[in-house]
Amino acid sequence: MTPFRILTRQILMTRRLLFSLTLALSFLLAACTTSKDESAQAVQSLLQALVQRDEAHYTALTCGSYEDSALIEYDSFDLVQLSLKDLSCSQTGQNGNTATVHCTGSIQATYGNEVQSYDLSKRTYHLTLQGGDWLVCGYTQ
Amino acid sequence: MGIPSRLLLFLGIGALAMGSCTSLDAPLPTATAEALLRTTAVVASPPTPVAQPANAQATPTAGPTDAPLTAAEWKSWPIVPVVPPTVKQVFQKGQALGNDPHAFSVFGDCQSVPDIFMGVYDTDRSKVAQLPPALQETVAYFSGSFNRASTTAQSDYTAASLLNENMSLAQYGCNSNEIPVDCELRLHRPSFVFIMVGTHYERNNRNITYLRMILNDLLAHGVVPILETKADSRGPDDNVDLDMAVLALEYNVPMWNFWAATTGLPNHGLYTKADEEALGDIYLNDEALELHRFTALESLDAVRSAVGDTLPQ
Repeated sequence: MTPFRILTRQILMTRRLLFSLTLALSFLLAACTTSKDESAQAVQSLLQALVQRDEAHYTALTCGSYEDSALIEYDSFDLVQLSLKDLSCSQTGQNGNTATVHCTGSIQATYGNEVQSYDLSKRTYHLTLQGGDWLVCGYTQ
Repeated sequence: MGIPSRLLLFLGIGALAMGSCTSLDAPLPTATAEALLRTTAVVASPPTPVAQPANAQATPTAGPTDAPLTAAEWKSWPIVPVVPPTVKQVFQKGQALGNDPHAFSVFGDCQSVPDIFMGVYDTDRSKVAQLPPALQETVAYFSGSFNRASTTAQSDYTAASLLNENMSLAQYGCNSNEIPVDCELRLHRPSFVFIMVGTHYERNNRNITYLRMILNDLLAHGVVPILETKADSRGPDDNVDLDMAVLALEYNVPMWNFWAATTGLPNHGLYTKADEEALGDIYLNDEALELHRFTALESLDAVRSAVGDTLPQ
């Protein structure tokens, strides 16, 4: 084998290796980004269902163990007009099938002329991946 | 002084400061006098208390006549409650736990905030002077509780709100991880609590579950609950008020039947606010509000009297 052929072969192998590595990294990054987006999106969807008074969607986004508490929160707002102000959520941690999400913004509850603001930035939402979906299992603050 | 003369005294002097959720002032309308007369007539002839069973729907209890009534017959229950004898045990338990015998609290919505409800009994001496002597004594006994603002009496509250720690208001001294019910019990140590949530609340059937949670909490703390029926009884088959009757029987606790007090008023004393048409007739007009605070005070007096021999002076 000539030195030229050896060099060509090494270059090809390096290219394949680089391509494979890039591909693997891309898949990893994509999976990671999607997962992060999805957990944060689940919390945002939960809050949107709360203010839109969409009970079916709201409960579908909660863990079974959290459903009773989640409904207390949902029913707490039954007499007010709700809206979300400056809502933004992002995943702050993940460990296997569990994740934490932090949000900024607030829930605005209006009754007559009174507006009560509930600061979301104090909450850390806890989620679990079940059946391919992120479900909200509660929050601490 | 008998009931009719008490009433004449009360009406003769006249009732003044009244309001709604927007705190209006107006003179006592004639219809209120008639309603009060009818209300007090029920008080004058209370039914004989009978032992109340644990199962609300299966077994009847005391009503306005000698015949016991079921929860389904709640509309015929007396306005001022017939206080079950077991209430005394609850009260005594609370005293042993350190509850204040002179304190009551209010758990409720916009009809329960002091400005709208019984706050005037703490702030308006002339108003108190118009009351029958027995009720004046009750006002003096519970002085300080009538006009006390709290985290449990807020305009937008449902039964669920009382159990939601996010609804506990720090401005009243509540901790962030404390539900409003527990905050109020810790701060005020009441011996009695009015439960008056449910105005225009008809969206689901979880209300009674939340009320059970609240009642369990109160009874565990030795606090005597006083349930209230609403004038704007809502839901299928008036289930919001029916739930109160079911729970009164289930827990052997008094029920102040305010709905019955308003039957003599046009449209139960309700009106729709001009800018809140969608909510319908949910607000109490001035006549109904006057009746509301007066019959509440009568109910508080009845419960106080029922535990009378264990009360400190």
